Amino acid sequence: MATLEELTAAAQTEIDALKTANGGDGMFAQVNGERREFTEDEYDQAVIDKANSDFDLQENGYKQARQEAYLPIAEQLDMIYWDGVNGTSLWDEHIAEVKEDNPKPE
Amino acid sequence: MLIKINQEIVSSSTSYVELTGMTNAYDVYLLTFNNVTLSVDERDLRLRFLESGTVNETANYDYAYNVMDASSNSEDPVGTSNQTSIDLTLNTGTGTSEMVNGFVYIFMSQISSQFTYTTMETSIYAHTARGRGIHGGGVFTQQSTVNGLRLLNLSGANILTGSFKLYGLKK
Repeated sequence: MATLEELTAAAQTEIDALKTANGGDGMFAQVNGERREFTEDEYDQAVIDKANSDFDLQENGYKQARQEAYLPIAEQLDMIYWDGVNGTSLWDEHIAEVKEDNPKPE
Repeated sequence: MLIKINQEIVSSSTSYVELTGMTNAYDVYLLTFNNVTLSVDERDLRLRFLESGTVNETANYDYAYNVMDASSNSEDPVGTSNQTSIDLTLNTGTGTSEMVNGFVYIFMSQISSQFTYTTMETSIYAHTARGRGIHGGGVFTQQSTVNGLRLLNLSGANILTGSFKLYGLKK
């Protein structure tokens, strides 16, 4: 697991490489009908924003991934019912699979 | 009646779009955004406000929304406080026809002693290749007057296309 400081350093490297002065494609703002490259202050803010966003994704991204992978609640209730009737464990297996595929960061 | 204040049409990769011109001429504003695509999968379009022309990037934004997914799986509500922006979408996509359309109403933005409030509705064809609807609200928890807004992604994705329009609701 990367620390916020490590992710900030990585974001700094990535965004520095984007600057046209460094041969990159640049980051641009569109304001009042004009498209212009970021100022240095805006590049600095982009580093902060990216590092914080990447840190949040690292820490919490698994929650959204699990939500998208779980079957609808009605289907899960149906699975639980039929597991009881048939003596199967399809619901347990489904939940375990989603958790395993989208692990919580250690 | 809606009075158009400002608009930006994005057709080249852009990191943020800014719309200014909010004054006390109107009490309520409407932001619309359509045909919005981002350069990276599973990223979000976000909103920040400007005070006296300067964007507020501090942790002064709270928001909450419900996500309705076409899988019939209504996802858990999203709610969070002390963020540096308001989230308007959830995991946009870069596949064919995957885009974002929506609107945000903005209230109390011209009263310096009050927070600024938003309500929003967003329609997405998400990275999961499924339709998705979002509705919710947000608060910019600064007692200040807002004179504009900025739309961006925080994790480095660019806005590739989009039409962004700001209207005032005639008093």
